[in-house]
Amino acid sequence: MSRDAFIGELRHRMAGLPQEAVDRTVEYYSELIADSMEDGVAEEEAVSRLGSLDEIVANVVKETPLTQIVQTRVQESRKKGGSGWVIALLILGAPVWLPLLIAALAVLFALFIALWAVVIALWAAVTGVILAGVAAVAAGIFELVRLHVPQGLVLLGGGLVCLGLCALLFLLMKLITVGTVKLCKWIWTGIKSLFVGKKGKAQ
Amino acid sequence: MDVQMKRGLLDVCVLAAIQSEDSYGYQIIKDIRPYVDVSESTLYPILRRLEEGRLLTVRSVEHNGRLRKYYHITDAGKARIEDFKGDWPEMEKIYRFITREVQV
Repeated sequence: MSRDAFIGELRHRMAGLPQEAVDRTVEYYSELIADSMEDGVAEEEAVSRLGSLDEIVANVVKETPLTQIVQTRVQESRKKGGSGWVIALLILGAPVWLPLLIAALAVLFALFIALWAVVIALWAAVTGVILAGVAAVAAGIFELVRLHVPQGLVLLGGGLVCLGLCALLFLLMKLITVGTVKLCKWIWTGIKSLFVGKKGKAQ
Repeated sequence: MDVQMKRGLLDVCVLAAIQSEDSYGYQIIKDIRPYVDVSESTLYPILRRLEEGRLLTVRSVEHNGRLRKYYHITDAGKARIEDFKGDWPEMEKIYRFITREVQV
């Protein structure tokens, strides 16, 4: 890819980010390309050394707060379509879009809560099994002391099975919890990138 | 190297690269790369972070008919390097502990 094509594509993909962040990023990468070329690296090679555009843009999105991204989008749409009309439509349309927006946020929030509720419920279940295991072992020992050998052995065995199972479940739960945290982070970055680059595609 | 560990080290590496004289992006990468694997897109947020934390300042200088950004270390930046050097004996102690425990 040539230098101009790279810079053009970079700007295109960053559409929707604050202008200041876009300019600064473009300055940084064009300076690097110019300096590599001065150092004797061919243009195409200098561009390909910068890595993938996806990675570059993802890094910038991660560093930019969502509020800033949304603010930029709103300002841009105001600039584009005769501001008076857009504002009038926004106000008149409020009975329609406001409940929809609230509903969308509520759904998102509910999903988030549901996700964590499942995780918490699973943890509670594991805790239940641990408690049952401990209780069964204690009861088993008690029965053995009272010389009710068959009952005691059954209780003791069952309790030990529960505790052993818990050790395995605990590892599984750790994986699930870490996975859920990662999923939430991923969704959040996804929501942010919804606002970025969309304008570019529409053009 | 582990990402978390590298992140902290890279900050200090960048500061060290501009300690004796002001430097620019391409040169910084060239200076650090023999020691730590750093890409252009990882350096960018680091420079931003250091600038926001006032560990370095930036100025644009004309070079061959274009602008080039030079990074200058501040006193806070120098203090950060000293902090790192001060932490080293402790880090070595931890390293010795880890290697000894692993051998046994």
